[in-house]
Amino acid sequence: MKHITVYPARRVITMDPGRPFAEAVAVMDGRVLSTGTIETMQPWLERYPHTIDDTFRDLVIMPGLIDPHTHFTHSAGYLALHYIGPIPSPGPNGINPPLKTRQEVIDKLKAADAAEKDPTAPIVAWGLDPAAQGGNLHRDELDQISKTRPIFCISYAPHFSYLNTPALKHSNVTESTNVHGVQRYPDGRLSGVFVEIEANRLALGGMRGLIAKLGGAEGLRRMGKIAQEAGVTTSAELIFGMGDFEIEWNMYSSTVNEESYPLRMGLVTLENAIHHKHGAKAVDFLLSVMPRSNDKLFFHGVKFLSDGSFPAMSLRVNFPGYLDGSNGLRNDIPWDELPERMLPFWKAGVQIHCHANGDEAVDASLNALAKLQAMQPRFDHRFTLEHYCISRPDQARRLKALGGAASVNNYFVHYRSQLHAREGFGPDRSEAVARLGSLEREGVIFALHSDYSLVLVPLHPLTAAWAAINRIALDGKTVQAPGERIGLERALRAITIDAAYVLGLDDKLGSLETGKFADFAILKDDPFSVDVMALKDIPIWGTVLNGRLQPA
Amino acid sequence: MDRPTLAAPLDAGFTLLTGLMDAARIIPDRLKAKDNSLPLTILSGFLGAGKTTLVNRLLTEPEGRRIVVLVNDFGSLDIDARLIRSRSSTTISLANGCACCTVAGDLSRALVEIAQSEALPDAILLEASGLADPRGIAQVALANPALRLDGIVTMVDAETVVQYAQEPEIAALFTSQVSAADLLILNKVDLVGDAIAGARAAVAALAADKPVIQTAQASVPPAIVFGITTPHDAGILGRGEAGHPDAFRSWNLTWTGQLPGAALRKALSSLPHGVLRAKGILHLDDEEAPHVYQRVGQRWSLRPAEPGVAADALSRLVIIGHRGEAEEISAAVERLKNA
Repeated sequence: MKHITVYPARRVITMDPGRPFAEAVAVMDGRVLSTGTIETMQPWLERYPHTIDDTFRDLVIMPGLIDPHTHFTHSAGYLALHYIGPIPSPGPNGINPPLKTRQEVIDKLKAADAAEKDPTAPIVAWGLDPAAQGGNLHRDELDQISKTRPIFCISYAPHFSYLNTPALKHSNVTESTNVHGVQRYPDGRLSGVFVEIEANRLALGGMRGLIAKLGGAEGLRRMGKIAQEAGVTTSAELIFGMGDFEIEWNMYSSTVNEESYPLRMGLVTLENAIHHKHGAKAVDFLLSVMPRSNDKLFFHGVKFLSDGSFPAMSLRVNFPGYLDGSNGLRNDIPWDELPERMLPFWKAGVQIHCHANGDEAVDASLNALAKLQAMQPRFDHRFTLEHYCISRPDQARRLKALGGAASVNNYFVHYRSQLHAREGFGPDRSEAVARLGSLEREGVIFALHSDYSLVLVPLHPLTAAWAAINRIALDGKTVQAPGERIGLERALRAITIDAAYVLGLDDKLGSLETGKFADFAILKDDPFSVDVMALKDIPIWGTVLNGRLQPA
Repeated sequence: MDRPTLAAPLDAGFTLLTGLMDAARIIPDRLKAKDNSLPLTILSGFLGAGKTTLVNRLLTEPEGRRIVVLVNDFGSLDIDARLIRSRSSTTISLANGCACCTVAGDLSRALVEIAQSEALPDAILLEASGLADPRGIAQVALANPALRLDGIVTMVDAETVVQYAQEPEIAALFTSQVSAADLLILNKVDLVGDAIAGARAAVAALAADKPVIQTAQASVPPAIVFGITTPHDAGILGRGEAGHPDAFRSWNLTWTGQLPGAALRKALSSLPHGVLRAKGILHLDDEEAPHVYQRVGQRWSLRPAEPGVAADALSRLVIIGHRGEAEEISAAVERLKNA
């Protein structure tokens, strides 16, 4: 037995429904030993050496938050870039606001330059729309921001790049370079503007190493920091292996396994990628890599996709399609082939996560699950529908009957429901996006997730819980589909213990019970005391992972 | 067939960035194939334009080329006995991408495998998604330094071009595919009858100076799609191809001795629009090494030749163009001769 540390707090929220609240939590060897009061813990404290740590005396301790569906691989580098576009875009602090004028673009680049202390460190910005933001940037203008560091700017549509003088040097572009699309000033000097493919290849070629670095370990650490600041201690990459399995594994294992990395990460492998490489032996391959897992970084389950995206308007809906009569995209695998492709994983007990955004895709995914159940009935399989944006109440009932779970992106209730009432899906389906009330009524276990940063919402579970409870639209007043609201306790479950459930880890994570990992989110206010409209605004001190304090 | 969606253009910037990041992760520092050694042709075109038909033709009649074709939808290709017998070409299918995940990682990985293979292909053909601006995927493919962009060929369906160019949901994407092209193939001209004039006008409005090849059943010779890569190309075309609504012609030039660099560059940059393809090896008086000239449509490059490419001191140039514009091209050839 090792040393015990006791953390008294303003309140401890355990998410153990039998013993929901406490005044202190005792930690030993990275795990929860006891919750209660210092008095109730005496049987332990009398027997073993211990310390009382008052760091959280005025703070609120709850289980570390879990976002069970993110995309760190593809966000890592992307978020390292400075965004200078005219429409909102995901950013390291939530949503990057649109920049309306050229002056705002220049000001943002200047701010990026001022914030970066090393005068030779490169800056990469993207998103400029020259038509909407006052024309092309150019070399002399960018040189006025910095003559010492390379500045690369990429347009929103992949047509233009803009480089300052150090960036030209970095990309080995000289005054004698003669490639189609490398633009010049009237006096013949390079203008730093690169138009179309061959020229952009030169400009971007120089950035390749830089982008790889930003998108590699450095980017994963930045993503970890974003999650940590939101109180998250566990997340999962839901299309692992889409680029190159081993390269992505090396990137995660060399980073997440560092002691200082603030999160546990689950890796949910994209079936289509391993099927492409291993064919019928995909399941054997996946089982063969499972032993690489440890408590910090673990392989979990397999991922399928059935349709497109909610915000990009490519999900599949039933009658009568979109407002304009169109419909979205089916995904990788023809729907009638889904059961056959899922079956080996189902039989091997590998948990299946199936992306389904629109109600037609939900039907298709439920049909696949029903076929699996007919071929080989199973209990506790935790087949999880991912996103579950547009659905019908009867689908929640059928999901329950088939024994499935849901991991829901419900941020859209706030961020997109009014927009898509007018664009895409029409009012009924858009208002009722993310039917958590129906799932609750039918007894389906569900989690909330952000999909960060493939869609325009922040990675911030308290915001997801806030949206689940209030369903307030972007106008700040309209309550969307009020019958789909859920209560505070259930919402907090969906970002802790029930999120652990969909990752198959509810025996180790998600609540503060003896023997579970000492993973905490440390809040500066109490979710059970603040006004429900203020839940998302509770400041977060940081997290504790495996008993290790991680101030944000 | 699924209806097109606005998702692709909306996500183009993100797709490019994540694609470049995937490529940066996947491409090793050193590749077996030399830089700029593998010619890449991008085949673009909206849904239903006839891309798959063309790919099938090219696979069955590669005319001596070893080609690698990267397609989105493997199932739609008929890999017939002739192809399997020839064993000269390869087809690689890419995982489909939806709006929330891209094909880029798969593509980068496939291109690395090609660039690391023992027997390097003569040409790589990448079929771009019918719902994407081909420039994005081209940019991602070209993150691989072994590749050289040979050209973007966009197929346009003569039956639907007028409609697509106007339909608000589709026009932006459709226009981007046409404007990205170096060569346009106006397909299915046999099905439109007199409406061909309207179809020509719609294409011309989007791409005034781009060469347009009119064809039926995607019947386009490989030398037009891939450029001049085999000694047979000029000869085959010289005969004129029966059954092509457009007939093609080739011009061969040979020079002895050094050519005046400045004058020749000027002449080469002002070849008429009827020129579809050109390739040459040139000994210029202002360059030490012999140079290779490559042209597709209006785009051309003049690069130092790899050692061993120029077998002798002769300069050679092959031009392929529209027979209908032979007079203009012949005049340009005369100017080149006398440069």
